[in-house]
Amino acid sequence: MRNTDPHRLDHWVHRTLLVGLTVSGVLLAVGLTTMLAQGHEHAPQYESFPTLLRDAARLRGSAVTTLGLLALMMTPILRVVVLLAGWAVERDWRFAGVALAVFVLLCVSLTLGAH
Amino acid sequence: MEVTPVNALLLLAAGGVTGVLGAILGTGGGVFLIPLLVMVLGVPMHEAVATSIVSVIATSSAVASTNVERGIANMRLGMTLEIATALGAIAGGLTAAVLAPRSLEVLFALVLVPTALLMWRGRTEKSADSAADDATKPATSSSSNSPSPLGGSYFDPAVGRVSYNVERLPAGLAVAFVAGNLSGLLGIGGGVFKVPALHLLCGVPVKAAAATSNFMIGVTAVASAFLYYGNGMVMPGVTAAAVLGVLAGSALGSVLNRSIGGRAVSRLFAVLLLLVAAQMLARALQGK
Repeated sequence: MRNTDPHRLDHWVHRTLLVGLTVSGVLLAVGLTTMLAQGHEHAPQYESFPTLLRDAARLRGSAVTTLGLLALMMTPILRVVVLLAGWAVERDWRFAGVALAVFVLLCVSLTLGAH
Repeated sequence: MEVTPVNALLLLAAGGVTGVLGAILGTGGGVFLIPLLVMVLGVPMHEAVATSIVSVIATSSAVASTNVERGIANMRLGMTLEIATALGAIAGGLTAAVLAPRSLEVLFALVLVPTALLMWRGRTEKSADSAADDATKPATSSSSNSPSPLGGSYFDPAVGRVSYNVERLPAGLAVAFVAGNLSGLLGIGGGVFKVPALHLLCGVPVKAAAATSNFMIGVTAVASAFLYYGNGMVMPGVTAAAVLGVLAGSALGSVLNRSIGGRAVSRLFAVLLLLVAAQMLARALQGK
C-alpha cells in the first residue's frame, strides 16, 4: 500500500456524499415547490431520460423532482465507485476487490430490476 | 395521495422524525416512516414502501457523510458486509414471489424480541456497548492487540479514542445477507438487524456499529429503489417531501448523536426493536 494520508479517502467519500445530497436536495426543493405552485398533484411516470431532461429544463415540477430522486439514488453507487478508485490508487488491492465485487453485484441487481 | 401544501408539511415532519431517529440509531428509518405514512397520512402500502426505500438512501447518505468524516463509520468492514447484503438483496428479489412476507414478518418479530433484550443489557465482555465502558481504557491499552484489517478506531468526545477488532465475521456476513434479503421485501434498510449483529456478534462498539450500518444501508436500498421506481411506485411529490424532511432530521440527529452515550443508544435501540417486533406481528396477524 502507498503511504498516503490515511484520511484522504474519508474526505473523498464525505465530499461525494455531500455533493450528491446537495444536488438532489436542491433539485427536490425546487421541484416540490414548483409542483405545489403549478398544482401538479399527480406526476407522470417518465420512461425516457431525454423527455425527463427536456421537461426539467422547462422547469416542470414533476420532472425536476424526478431528476432529484434519481440523483439521490445514484449517490451511494457513486460512493462505491469512489472507494474502488481510492483503494486502487492506494494499491490496497484486497479492499479494491471488495469494492469491485459490490459494484458488480449492484450492476447485476440493477439489471435484474430493469427486467 | 395528493401533494397539497398541508400534506407536504406533514410529510416533511414525518421525514424529519425519521431522519433524527435514523441518525442516532443507525437505521435508515424505514421502520418509523412506513407506519407514519400508512396509518397517519393514508399512503397506500406499496407506495409507502417505495417512499421509505428512497428515504432510507437519504438518511444513509446524510449520516454516513458526517460519520465517515469523523472516522466513526468503518468503511472497510461496511464494504465487506455489503457483498453479503447485495447478494441477499438479489436473492430476495428473485425469491420474493415464492415467499410469504407475512410468515417472514412473524419469524423476524420472534427473533427481534430476544435481540432487544440482549441490546438492552449490552455486551458485557470488552464492554463495547458504551463508549464509556469501551474506551475509558487509554487507546494504548488496545494496541497490545494490533487491530485486524477490518478493525477500527475513532474519537469519542465523551471518553477519548476507542479501538476495536472485529470478531465472528462469518456471523456478521450471514446477518448482512438476511438484512439485504429483507430490505426489498419490507422496504426497510435492515439496520434493525445489522446494528445488533455488528455490536453483539462482531464486538463493534455500538456507536461504530450504528455508523457502519448507516454507511451500508444506502447501497442496500439502492437496488430495491430502482426496482420500485421502474414499477412506477415512487410518487415524486410525496417522496420529495419525505426526503427533504429526512435530510433536515438527519443533520439534527447527527448533532444530537455527539452528546448521546453508547449505553443510551443501546437502550433506545432495544426499545425500537420491541416496537418493530410488535408492528410486524400486528401487521402479520391483521393480514395487511
